[in-house]
Amino acid sequence: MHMDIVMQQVLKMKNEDPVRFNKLVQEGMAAELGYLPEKNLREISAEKLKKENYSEDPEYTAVSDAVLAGKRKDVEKLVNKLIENGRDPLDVVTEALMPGIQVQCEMYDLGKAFVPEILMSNDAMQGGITICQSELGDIPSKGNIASFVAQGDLHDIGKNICAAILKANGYTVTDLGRDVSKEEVLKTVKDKGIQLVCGSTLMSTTKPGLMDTALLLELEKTGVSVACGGAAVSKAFVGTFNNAIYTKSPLETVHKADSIISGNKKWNELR
Amino acid sequence: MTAEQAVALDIGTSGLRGQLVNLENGQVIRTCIMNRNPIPGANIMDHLSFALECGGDKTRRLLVSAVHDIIERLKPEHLSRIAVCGNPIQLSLLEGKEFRDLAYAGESKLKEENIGPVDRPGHIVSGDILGFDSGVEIIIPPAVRHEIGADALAMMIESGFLENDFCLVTDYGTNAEMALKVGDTVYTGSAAAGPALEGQQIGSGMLAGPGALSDLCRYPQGWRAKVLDSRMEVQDGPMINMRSGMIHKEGVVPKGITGTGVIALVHAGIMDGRMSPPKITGDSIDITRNIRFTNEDLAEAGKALGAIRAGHLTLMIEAGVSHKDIHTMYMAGASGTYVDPIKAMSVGMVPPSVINVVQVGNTSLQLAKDIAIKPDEIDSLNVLRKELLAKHIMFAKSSVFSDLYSYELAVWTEGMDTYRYSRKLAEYDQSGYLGTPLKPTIRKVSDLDIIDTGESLEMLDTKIEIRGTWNCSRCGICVRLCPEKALNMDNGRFIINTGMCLGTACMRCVENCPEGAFALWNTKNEFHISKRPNETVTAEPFPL
Repeated sequence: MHMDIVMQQVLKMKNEDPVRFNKLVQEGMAAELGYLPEKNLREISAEKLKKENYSEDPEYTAVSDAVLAGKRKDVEKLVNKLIENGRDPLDVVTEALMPGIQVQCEMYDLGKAFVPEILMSNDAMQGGITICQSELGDIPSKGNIASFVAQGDLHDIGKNICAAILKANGYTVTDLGRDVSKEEVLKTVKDKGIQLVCGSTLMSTTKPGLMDTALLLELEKTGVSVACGGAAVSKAFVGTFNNAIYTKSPLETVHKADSIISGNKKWNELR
Repeated sequence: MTAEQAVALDIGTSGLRGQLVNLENGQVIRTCIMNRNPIPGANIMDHLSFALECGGDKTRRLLVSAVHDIIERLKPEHLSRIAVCGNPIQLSLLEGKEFRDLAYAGESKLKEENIGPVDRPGHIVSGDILGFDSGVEIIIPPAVRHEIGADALAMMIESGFLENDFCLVTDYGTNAEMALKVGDTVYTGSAAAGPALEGQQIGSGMLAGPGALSDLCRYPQGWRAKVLDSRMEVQDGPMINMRSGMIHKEGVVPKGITGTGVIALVHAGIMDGRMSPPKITGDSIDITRNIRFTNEDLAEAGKALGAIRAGHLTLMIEAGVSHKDIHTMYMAGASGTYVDPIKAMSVGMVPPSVINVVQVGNTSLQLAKDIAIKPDEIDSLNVLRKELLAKHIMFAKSSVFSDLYSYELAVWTEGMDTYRYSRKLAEYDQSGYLGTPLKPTIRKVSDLDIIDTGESLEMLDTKIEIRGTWNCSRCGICVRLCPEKALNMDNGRFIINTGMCLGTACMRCVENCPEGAFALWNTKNEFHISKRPNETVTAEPFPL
């Protein structure tokens, strides 16, 4: 191509899409300095992770890819087709849907995927799981967890992220939503065989709700503890009452959930 | 016989401002600023937590005591009225009215506690409710609705926002109230940005005062720090080279970083490639041996900037307009007045297509002054609040906000590249939002956030204390651990400087008491509000 035309197109891109322009310039500079841009690393590890997690069946990997890309409609379409073709719904969950979100989560652990993508992948996976559930009833999981935002608070971004990452790690999460009373939590714990409750709040006025919930669950001898998090909650605050643990990040919640549910640890062993 | 005088007061979350006004000619006589709000806590929700735990009455006494402090310093001679503006929480706490509807966002809690909707019209009451002579009128402007308070109304009226169209106004405070006007409809919201942009919750952060790094200026050798001197005038400080990390010690030595300094650092760091959120190359920018800007500070600032940007975008998306249609931005509040708008734009505090920026100063105090001079205005404000077609978008409930804020968090705290965020924004018809901003024309209504300070401007520390005794061994661990030095001991009695205390956000004194005796807000204890004598600014710390 003639150099002038190239320059014209580059200038056009600079005006229309400065973000991409800057990115390309930076990548060019990085390549000249002799190290590979991060993009290549990401592609390598995504492929590697896919190889480790994905099923060998191309119809299943298509679903996994759609989950990874966060395309709910595509997932639903593909899952419906698989079920119509007589595939086992349980297989679809474990071999097609779960590997997609597993790759996303491992990418997140490596710092190569981010919260919005986890949320989208989770949403896509839930679309598929709902279809399978109607065929199958209950789906085996690592354990039952309930999540809620303390009564009086509506800020649920953090709770949604946490619930999504727990689901992605194989837990069944009953999401009670926001502005939830302690009685409602207690009822769910009793009715649904919940093994751990995750509560969060952003507003400092509503954090007593987490304490009240933990104490009510203890008083009623449910044997279920509350993992507390959120901007208004600190480790020291959680340390002031029984039957609760503090988790700083969604990943820490997953680790502590593993210890409690699979490792049979108690709240006071994890403080 | 001297002319009658009035006091205009603005009660903010991070401080109070008062002005004495001559009612004959409308001139400001003098101004007094209290650097802290007397209620313990770092933000408005902490203030509400304190009020819930300790009761509205005690909270009211703290505020009333602060109001008296300020008015004493203003030395009025013929005080005939006091006009108070502020957000609905501070105003309700001051008057001792229902505030719990503002403490909880969720319906189920409001129902359980039996809290109905509260109407807050503008009104005039007798001075004795605040402990003044009953002949003194107290004027309280209206809140439009529970979410849109008198301070938001002030911001819309005093900036000129209501006369314009396709414009935005934002009060860059802890609460970041914002409004967008499209045709006759006003879309409002409030993004809890937190106090990072006011220099708090930043490791080396401080409020604007002598020694504060408040801005950076570009030079070929690097960035020249601008530092406030003892007369609050801007002086040259050290030269910071972002790329090499070299600091040349020159000029005034900074003692801390203000909110505008934080914005300047983020702008300079990103521009020179030293910062790529969430990381600073070398983990911090060391300005002096004691003053540095760290990765954690960048994350705090990023969360605040992200909340503001996501808030602006949510208003535009809910109103169905593209950011390209928004041409004017009114920047209110102290941070909005002192920040360099070009830097504010580059870090996302102002939409990129704005071509006019107007820095309007402290509108809350201006409205208080206006109604102090013309108390009849309260009627027209009450009419306006009925007529204002305001659509409030509660960001906590908005799916658009929560979607965008999760991207902001990923960009600022996880290092997601902005390319993915801009793709998301394109889905909302807001493409180009993260691109290079236009160069706007800037108009500054006044050099100071308080437009006219009169003959003198006095800064005041809070001297309001709670004294109490606890049945303990007086080991002093609580006093030593207090990060704000708000807690002292005197003859075995504990003295808490309520304005300095971070309240429910901290609680280190309570949590670390080895005997479990310390109960900061235990109302069974003696609760006695006292003021230190004016001569001693800080009490002697307890010898440990």
